[in-house]
Amino acid sequence: MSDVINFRLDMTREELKTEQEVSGDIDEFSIENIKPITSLPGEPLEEARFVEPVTALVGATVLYLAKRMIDHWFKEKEQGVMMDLREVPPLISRIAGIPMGFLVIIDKDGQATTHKVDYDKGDDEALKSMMSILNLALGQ
Amino acid sequence: MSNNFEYLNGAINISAPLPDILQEKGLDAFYENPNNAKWGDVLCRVLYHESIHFWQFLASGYIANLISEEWKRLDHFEQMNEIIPKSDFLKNFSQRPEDIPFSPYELTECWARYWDVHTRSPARIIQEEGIEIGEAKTYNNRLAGNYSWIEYDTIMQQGEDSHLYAQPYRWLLEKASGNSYLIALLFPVITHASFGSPDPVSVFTSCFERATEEDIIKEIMEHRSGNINFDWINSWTFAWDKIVLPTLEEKNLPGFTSGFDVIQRGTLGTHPIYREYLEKAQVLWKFVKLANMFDTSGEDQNDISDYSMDEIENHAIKEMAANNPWIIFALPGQPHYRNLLGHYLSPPIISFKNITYSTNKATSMWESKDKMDETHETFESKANELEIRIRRFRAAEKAQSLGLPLNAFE
Repeated sequence: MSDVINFRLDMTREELKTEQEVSGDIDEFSIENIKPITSLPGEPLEEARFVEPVTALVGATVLYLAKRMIDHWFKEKEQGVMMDLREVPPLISRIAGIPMGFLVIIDKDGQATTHKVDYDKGDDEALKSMMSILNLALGQ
Repeated sequence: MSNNFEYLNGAINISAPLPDILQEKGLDAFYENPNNAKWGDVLCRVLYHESIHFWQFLASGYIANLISEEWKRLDHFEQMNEIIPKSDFLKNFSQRPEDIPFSPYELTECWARYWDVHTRSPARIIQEEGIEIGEAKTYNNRLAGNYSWIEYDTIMQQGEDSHLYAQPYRWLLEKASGNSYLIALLFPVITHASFGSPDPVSVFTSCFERATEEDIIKEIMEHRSGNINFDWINSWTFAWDKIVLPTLEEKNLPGFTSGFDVIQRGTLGTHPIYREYLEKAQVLWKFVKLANMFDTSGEDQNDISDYSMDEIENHAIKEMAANNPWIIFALPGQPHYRNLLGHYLSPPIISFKNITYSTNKATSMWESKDKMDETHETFESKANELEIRIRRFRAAEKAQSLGLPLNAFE
């Protein structure tokens, strides 16, 4: 089995529930130390949305993470994904207000790069592309 | 999919489907009876809650001014391809400095929750959200057989995402020494007045501090009828004259400024959707005056003892609206006023899980019981055009915050 990487994942409580249901008991993905995010919204004129944001410590293989992103996170959600490598462990956020269809990676020096996620190209090609982006980012 | 209200175009997203029956009848039926089991468990709270945010904007000069600033920033971005930094006025909306107990943002959320919890029933929400309430706390103070103050206070402090709205309510409970009735009675009028001022949190806290003076509490508690809908109407003038006006005067603040005032006088007059609501409001004003005229036409021939309490209450509700239409916005949970807002000033566009519902640009004076009329022009095309502009603006704003070129997400 590939190496498991550890990161913090910010998402909604509903998304957390889905991730727990989908992953079941497999070794490729684990979630622990779940806590509510209780800060006020950073953007003025942002409405509460009736969602409960949470943060959790996650362990996952790059393959599993890439598959979840391609199969679900980018397809079904209203927002894109942000990966902030300045944080220890790295932060992956599904609630950072990134426009839909984009992955933003902020490197250790604070430099942001965007990746348009072409999940419509076909799952294999999209998955390979995502694996390569994640490996490159996490291998820094 | 989350539920939310987009301040810049009035669009609402709802994570639940719109039932067939409401697709046929239109949303008047929902606003008439939001708790109807036929609509399912989600709509009552979330559609009503998000609609309240829209009505808050129409009633509040403070909120309308915030939106007006955002509208200017969007316009500047489109004209000049640059993002103007947010002003302190905008930033302060969601900030809670040490010298104030909560932010204006928290107060708007508390304001919307106040009504959606009241309408859905806190007893029901406690069940739905699986909130535990201590056995010893459930015994007393039952309100008209529906729910107790204990249940209401519990939800207002412990419900889901309570970190966004509970602080103002906790502050109120502390100031009122746990007198939940005082809070329930005065919250609508004081919040409405506060958001008609340029400094809502300061006006809100000062008004409530004034409301806890002994003579005011005494007057209020003496007139408690057991029917909160009636008490809201009955206490309005007293609360406005003895609590709100002296507070505004003490702070040297102007009287009430509504969202309509801001739309009429400022940049939002160029907004393709909001400017249409000025005309819609005029139809509402005409209706409430007409309804009151019909209601009072036979008054002098009868003695008050000829009327039932329900008739007297209904009369008071219509008369208050005719004399002071702002009470309709201040009490969006009062059933008759909720009907009026839902019919005359329904939000421009609502995206449900299964369908997009768009309001007619023109408003008819009389309620329609028929199927949604598809011959009238709706807000749909304007809302969709605006949605694209807002997404582009927000994406550019996000790109700038990340140190990326403004077109990074295009």
